[in-house]
Amino acid sequence: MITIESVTRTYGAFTAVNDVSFTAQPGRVTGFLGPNGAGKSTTMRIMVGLTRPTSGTATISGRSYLDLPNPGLEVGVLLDASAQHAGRTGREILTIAQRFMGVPRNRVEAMLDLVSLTPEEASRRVRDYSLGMRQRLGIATALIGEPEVLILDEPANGLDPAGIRWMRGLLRDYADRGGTVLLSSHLLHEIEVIADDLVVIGNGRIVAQGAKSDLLRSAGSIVRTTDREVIARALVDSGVTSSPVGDDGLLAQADAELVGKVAFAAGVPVIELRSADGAGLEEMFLELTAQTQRDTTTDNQPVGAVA
Amino acid sequence: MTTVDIASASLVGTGTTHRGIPLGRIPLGRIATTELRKMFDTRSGIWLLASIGILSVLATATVILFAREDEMTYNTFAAAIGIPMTVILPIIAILSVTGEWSQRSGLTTFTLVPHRGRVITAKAIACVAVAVVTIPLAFGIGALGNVVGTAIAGVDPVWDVTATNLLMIVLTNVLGLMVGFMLGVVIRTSAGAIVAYFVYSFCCRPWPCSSPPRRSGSATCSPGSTSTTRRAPCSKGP
Repeated sequence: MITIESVTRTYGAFTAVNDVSFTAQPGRVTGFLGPNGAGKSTTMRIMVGLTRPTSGTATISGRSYLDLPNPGLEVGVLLDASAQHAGRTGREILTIAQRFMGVPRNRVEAMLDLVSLTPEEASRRVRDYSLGMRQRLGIATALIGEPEVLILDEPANGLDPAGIRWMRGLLRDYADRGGTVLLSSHLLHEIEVIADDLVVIGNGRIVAQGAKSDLLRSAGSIVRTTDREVIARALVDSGVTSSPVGDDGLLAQADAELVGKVAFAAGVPVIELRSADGAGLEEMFLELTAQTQRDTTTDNQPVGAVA
Repeated sequence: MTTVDIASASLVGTGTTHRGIPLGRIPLGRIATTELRKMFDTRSGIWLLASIGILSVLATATVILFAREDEMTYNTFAAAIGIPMTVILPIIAILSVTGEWSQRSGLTTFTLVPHRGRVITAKAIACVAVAVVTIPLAFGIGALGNVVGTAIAGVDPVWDVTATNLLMIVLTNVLGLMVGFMLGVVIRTSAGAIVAYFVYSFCCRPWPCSSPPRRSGSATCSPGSTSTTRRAPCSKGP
């Protein structure tokens, strides 16, 4: 279990992380979501003792990371897959981790096999690795000590679709066996599929957190139609608010059944009607972070992020 | 693509051991031997180490080829070999530290061993170990050169370096290496620390420093040194 309590980190006048509190529970995958520069990586660095919080505490299974006698056996960490000596081979990087932790030597080959790096690839130097291969190697390094807690910063970056599916299965299985998984992403779709709990951060503050199902419940439904003005008006008459999505769609704050009835009564053909859980989180994410994001980006980025 | 089959057992449930591995503090010795491995597990690392041997052989060969007969003593060989050593050992020490920042591997190192003091201590131990092993090896090459060179020249080999001298040379080189190490820790970039080390060695330190009294003032002293007050005496030997 990872517990973050009132963690604040300032750099001079800049507050990177502002009074952040959340927990990542065993047996669950916790998604840590936020736009770039929101404070995800700083929070993760604080968890693993690389950065000291200005105030607040971060504990892993009740202890500070710095008090763990052999952290690799308890926490698997992947913060930046590219942060490796480019001249070492993949196998050598795993061997170094294996030696620091003091785990049996055969774990190296077992991990290479687990992340599907072939013996030939493992003998190549990391400078010749693709980002996807580096991510696999990083995940192997995180898992080699068989820890109970995993902290992964943007692990899906650079993985191909098959690799993303593979990682999803791996993390799911890991959580199902009682492990705690915290993974960050700025890719909403990626995290929505895998996470049980969500923590959304924007501009250094937590803007939403809870079970994914709870956060998505309010998301409503998406309807695509040939004449959305008519449906929008009909929805307002039924007391449902809606907002335009795409060229011909509406995001209605009601379940699909009600929207379908309204459209039928209004006599407008419907092209598509579904509950908005796919787009819902994205909508919520943009909504929650737009405000905080605009505050900081007015100087150099007039509009754009939300549109 | 392999499916997930790390272990079927639950991940939770540990006491003082973790799946058979004692959950004790990582011993400093293990960190040091791992750091030692990291110094030579890249092409640049292994070639840097090899270059000490290669340059010692080259320096020895140069003495055999160009030294006059009366100059062909063990001291000449030792002085010639001292030059590559005083250059390369500190670079090995510097890179062992700065690599963690310039290559960013420190992100992994400092999460696996979250006490930087222990990592730096382990690196220092590894660096001194390298010096203690390579310096006698290099002087062994020099001794061989002295035997071969004098045999070729047809004179008796002269062993004009005392054990105390040799010890002083080892000590001087270890100190030079530690100065490089310290600069690596302080500056944290490879280029910056290496430049700083050479500035230091030109300004504050006589160059190879392996000359006994009768050769003091010869070319083995730093000729470019302008600051006479800060400059250490050239002859450190007895």
